[in-house]
Amino acid sequence: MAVLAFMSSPVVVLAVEILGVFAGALVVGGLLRPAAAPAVRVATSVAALVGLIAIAGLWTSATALHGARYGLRANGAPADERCFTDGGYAAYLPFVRWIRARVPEGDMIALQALVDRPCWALSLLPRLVVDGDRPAPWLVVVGARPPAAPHFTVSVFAHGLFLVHRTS
Amino acid sequence: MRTVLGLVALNGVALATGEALLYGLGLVGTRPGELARGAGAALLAGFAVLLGLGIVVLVAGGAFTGAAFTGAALIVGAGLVALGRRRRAPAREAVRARPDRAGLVLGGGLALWFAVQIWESRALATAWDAAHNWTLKAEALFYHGSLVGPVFVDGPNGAHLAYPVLQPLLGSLVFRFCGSPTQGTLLVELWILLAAFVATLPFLLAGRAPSWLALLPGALAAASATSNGILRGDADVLMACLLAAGALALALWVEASRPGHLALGVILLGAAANTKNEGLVFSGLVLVAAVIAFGWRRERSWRPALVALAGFVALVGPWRLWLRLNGPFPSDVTPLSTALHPSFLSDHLDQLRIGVHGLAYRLVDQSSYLWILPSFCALALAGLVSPRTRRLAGFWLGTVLAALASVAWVYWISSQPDIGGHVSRTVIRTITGPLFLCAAGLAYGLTRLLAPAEAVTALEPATVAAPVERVPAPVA
Repeated sequence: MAVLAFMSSPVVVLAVEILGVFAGALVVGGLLRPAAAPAVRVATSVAALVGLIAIAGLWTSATALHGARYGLRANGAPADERCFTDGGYAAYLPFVRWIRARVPEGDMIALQALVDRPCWALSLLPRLVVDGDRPAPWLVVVGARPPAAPHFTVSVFAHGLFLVHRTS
Repeated sequence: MRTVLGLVALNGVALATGEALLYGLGLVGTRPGELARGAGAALLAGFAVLLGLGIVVLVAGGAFTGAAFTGAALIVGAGLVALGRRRRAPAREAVRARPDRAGLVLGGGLALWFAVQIWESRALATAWDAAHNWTLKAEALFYHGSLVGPVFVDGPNGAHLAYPVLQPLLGSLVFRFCGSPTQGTLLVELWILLAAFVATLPFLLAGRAPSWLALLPGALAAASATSNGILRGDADVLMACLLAAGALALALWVEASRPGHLALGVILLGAAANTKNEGLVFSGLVLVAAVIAFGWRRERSWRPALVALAGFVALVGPWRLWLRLNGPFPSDVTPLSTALHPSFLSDHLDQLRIGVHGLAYRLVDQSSYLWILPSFCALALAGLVSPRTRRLAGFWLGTVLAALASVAWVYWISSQPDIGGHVSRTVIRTITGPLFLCAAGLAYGLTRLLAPAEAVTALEPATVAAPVERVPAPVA
């Protein structure tokens, strides 16, 4: 069992593949160009191998890339909102769009929530997102309603989702 | 329409600058055919120069806008053309070999393949890593121009703040020229630069063997699963293109001591180092390997090698200085002061095992990676046998092994709590650079070992030409 495990380990398989290509190329090259030097024999076979694989590979990779693209289609939604879907928090997207409609471009927004900040930062650009403890004219709160305070206007999007604007 | 015109304008400016650079270095002449054949290398080199300047501007606190990009191109281009004209024998190093019919057919097929990829990728969403790093920074530069604090200094945790900004800067310029920050246009640009890399191989290796022989490994690299990285908007493929093209230019410098190849190689490697942190390590390894291979012959002067090292430091220095001034930033790699301690390394040996197995597990997947590594290794082993190619085969083999070892080292000293998951998530990206090095090495090895004898002796300077009796027989 130990021998089988060793033989099937990827490092050993890789070494066998390399030596296999070398030995095979030497033999096939010897048949194709028996008078040539060993290095030239190997190069001849490797050129043939690379040529065959490249041409076939271009075809198969086009299919594979088509499949990969299928999973990345924007489907009409803004391309930069995709990370909300991938991260499993697409429910925040209406809130993010609502914030975008209210906060002027270029303003700074502090995020007081345990959320994926890079994803929010991308979707809210050109507004600049900072951590919740940093001073900013806008504050996004996810959770309990922030307490009332002078010079602060609290807008409610939905239960537990608030946008606070510092008015002075 | 604006998008198409924007991409044409952006690439046209970079292409013109790159052609001026190749002309200034004596690697192309002024004939349209020569300029056309050098277009791939020119595009990569043009972006390398202009984005390198852009990083200096950003580090100095400025904004690198479309106008600044175009202005820099005009100034640099004019200077390089003047430099080229001052040369007594213009384009002395240019190779005027015409592409063969098979090369034209293969090149046409590749152009069609790339056109399909470009067309199909123009409307994709921003994938996870791009949203958290590359595209986030590109859009921040597009909107704000400079390295704004909330994104680049106090940026969100997970935004890889220590990463260099060449691709985000490129992305911001794509968005500026096209008028809006659309992820699809950035992906189109990344495909164009991959195509430029494929075209660079037969250009740099022209004159010895049929051009299709140099095109095949590039096609193999483009067709491998590493190209998925472009769809994800990652920077690995761009870094790998710059790295492998730079390594090839340096291999040609080691072979024939031509300063034009040395300068081109250092510029491309500097750009690779400014694209990703892995690029810095890989580029440094390529440069060191090239200097060792160059100095193998005792009669050679060390001055060009020292100039190359100084040039590389000058290219990567600005961003590293910015990191020093604004960091340190969170990293998942243990600092060397801790990692180099023997007890740390022995305690983390299991991470090395997991990392090496993860690398090998990917590299044996030949349905995805198309036998690039085994073919390269077989050819390099054959090259080690031949006295004529031993030094350069050692350069390529050493470079690829060192690059893979550096990836394994990073996994060894990683501070990620779930190292198995980390390796399986990242290895599809970290092998891109080594695989592209393999592709460039394959192109080099095939064209050298299968070159007709008269082509080898005609192109190599007398000081480094191999004895004629050792040159292998021409291809039948």
